Amino acid sequence: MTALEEIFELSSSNRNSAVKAWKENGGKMVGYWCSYIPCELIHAAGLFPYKVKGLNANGTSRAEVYLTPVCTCKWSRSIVQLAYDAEYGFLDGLVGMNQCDHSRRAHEFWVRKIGVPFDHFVAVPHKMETEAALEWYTKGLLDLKNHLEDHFHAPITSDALIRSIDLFNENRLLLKELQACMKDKDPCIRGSDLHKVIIAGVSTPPERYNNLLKRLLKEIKERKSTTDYRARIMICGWCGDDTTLRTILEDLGALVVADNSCFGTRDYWDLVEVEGDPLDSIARSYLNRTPCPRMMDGFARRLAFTKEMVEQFAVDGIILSRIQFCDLHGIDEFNFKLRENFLGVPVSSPLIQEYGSQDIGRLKTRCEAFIEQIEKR
Amino acid sequence: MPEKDKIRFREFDFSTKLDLNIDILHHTERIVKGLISQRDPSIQWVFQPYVDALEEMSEAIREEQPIVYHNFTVLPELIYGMGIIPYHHEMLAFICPTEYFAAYKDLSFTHNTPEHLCSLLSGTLGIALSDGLSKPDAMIYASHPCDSGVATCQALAEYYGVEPFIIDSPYDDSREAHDYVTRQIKECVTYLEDKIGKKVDMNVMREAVRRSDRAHELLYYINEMKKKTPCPIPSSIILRSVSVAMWGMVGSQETVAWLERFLEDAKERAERGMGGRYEEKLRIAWIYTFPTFDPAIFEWMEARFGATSVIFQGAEHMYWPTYKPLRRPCYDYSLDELCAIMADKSLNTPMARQARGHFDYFIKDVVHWCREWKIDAAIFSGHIQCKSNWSSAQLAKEVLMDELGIPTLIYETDIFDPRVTSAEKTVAYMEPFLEMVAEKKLFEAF
Repeated sequence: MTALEEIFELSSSNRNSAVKAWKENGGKMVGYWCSYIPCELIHAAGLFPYKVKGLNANGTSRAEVYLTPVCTCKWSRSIVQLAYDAEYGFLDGLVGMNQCDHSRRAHEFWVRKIGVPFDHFVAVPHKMETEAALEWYTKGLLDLKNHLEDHFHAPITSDALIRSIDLFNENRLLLKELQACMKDKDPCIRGSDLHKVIIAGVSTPPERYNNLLKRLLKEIKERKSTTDYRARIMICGWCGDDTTLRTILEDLGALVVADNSCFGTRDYWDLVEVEGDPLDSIARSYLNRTPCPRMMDGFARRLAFTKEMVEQFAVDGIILSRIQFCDLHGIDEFNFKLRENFLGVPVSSPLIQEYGSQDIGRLKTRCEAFIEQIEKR
Repeated sequence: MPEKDKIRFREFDFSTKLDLNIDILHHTERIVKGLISQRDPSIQWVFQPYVDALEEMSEAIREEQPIVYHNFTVLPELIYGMGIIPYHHEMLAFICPTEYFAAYKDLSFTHNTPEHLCSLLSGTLGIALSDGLSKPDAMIYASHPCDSGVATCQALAEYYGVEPFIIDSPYDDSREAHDYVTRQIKECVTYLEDKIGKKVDMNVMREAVRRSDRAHELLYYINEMKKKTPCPIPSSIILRSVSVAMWGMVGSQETVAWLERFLEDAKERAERGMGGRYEEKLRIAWIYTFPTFDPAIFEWMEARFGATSVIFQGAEHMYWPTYKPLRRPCYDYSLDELCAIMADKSLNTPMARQARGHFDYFIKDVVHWCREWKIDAAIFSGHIQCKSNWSSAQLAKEVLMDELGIPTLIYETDIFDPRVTSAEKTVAYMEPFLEMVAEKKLFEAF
């Protein structure tokens, strides 16, 4: 099996081969909702940190009893549905946070109505740049650390934390190396495949994942490059663990070369810089990473990051994407449109996805129109 | 004009294209004053908060004061305490004529704002995009109660190029959480000093906090009066005024004076055993929001079923279970102490308290209100863009039935925009529900 084939397997289901192997060896797993929860903390307790996803949910009817489809995003509903269907029975714990109104309520209902052996909630600040916020976040992570230690009887030492930081930093550097391939005129990997690499990464123990990434980096250099594409696209916004949009764009002949999204560059772009106490270092680095739109003082940073990506990856146009009912990415799109001239490339009107590939026809039409708009420039 | 059971509902004209580049503040002021003048003089005082809020905004502009926006969970006492008048930008969307509100909301969508944003904030953004708001010199936004507020802060900050002060809300109610907010409010005072170019005068700040405390105290007594049967305050008309007085103007003398009048009126009615126009047969709790666009809905409930709307989460500051009347009478508080008092209120202001954290806050409060105010039935009028509270609706319904035997109606609406669920459609949802509640009560009486 090639590295890419192995990655496709890991990214295509929730209970993938890495999960099965880990559980067969008696390992414990802790799920988390959002990349503002540091994997390093969970990993340093000897646990497998696993980002929950909505992949392959069979409808959302049971979740909808509490999480109304009137205004709750389908990603959150899908995850709770999977929990109802015992698809996440392998998790020994779950860490929630106030990432957004949808997922925080989804976490609460999962804990209340379905149950999980260990649950913890971190109130992550909505701002980056103050001492008060940093202290609050650090305290929140310290509480999580203590709770993990107590529940799993697993002391999290400073040395263990440093080792986990090194491991995840190596992971981030490998992903950045992979992303750098997209700078080439004829990249050796497609954006939709790269997205699957990232999805696999949050569902695989980091030791195995790093080895896989090293293999992948060797293998793809021998692959045939993607040529004759129509436009180089950057995706800004939310696609989550749904590769549909990237696949549509690439099936239409475009190439997705960059993104500003979670389950994307925002997850791995910034390393944890260790200065002094490792927990403090994690808190500082995570709070100051390229921010999600939930961070109320983060737009300038997101804009600058996007501009940098446009230039580095020779982007021809930006697709603004969000899942239905996401106010945070919705307003980010308003702001990006305000700054379209600064970005210097066409920026699409907001493209709203229904999670789970159910609106492919409409998305295709919108994507085709945008690609044509770029081609006519 | 649409009507049901001889109750006439408001008629709206959404077909006429409105000029949205008008001076919407003064237009609203003229309309509000005109409508109030047509009312019976004995009840004109009920609407005074609208006039006060609009006049304050005009005064802030006229006096060329620094313009300071605040979202509704940042109580304006902080701004009054700095010796300036708050600019109630969200309140303008709340008060302006419904047809204009709808048009501003629609306009915002043409500028790529999401259609699922809270419509109050879509309306606010629409007014901003039409140059209907004065450009702010400063903005204070809390991250509670919801994503819509978090998002709107960023849109306004970017649109106007103004650096906002953000009060990050904790999820829990611990001492540390309150200390965290206290610290941020103190930092906000420094931010305001910088933005408005003057230092805080402690006596002015103390006075604003004292007035706010007094307002909360008065509202506490008003809400206690509502425990009487019949409820001496048929809430149908006064609900929105309470919202304006508390969210928009708490910390002002106007709010204190108005609430004193309100309490006197309630006392007098209670002493005379007066309820609403119709005999009270059912006591209703609006456990979340209520339709703001047509008070005839409440009148219909009262006329058809004797259903009095006793409590309402969003406007009545029902939360005040931690009511603290015994502050030091001399009000010689330090800035730290004042900030702690303001933090306490900001975290507990209606909707903020119930939406910012775990859904149990909402559920516990709902059960408390319904038990203490002897409620027969609850209504969750689900504002369709309100993600955090909608997710608590079904659980609240189950808990109310399990613990108190109280049924709950859940329905979809936009509480500001009748194009989503009109008044006629609203009462159509209610009719079978209230029939069932009335029969249940009759059955239980036997």
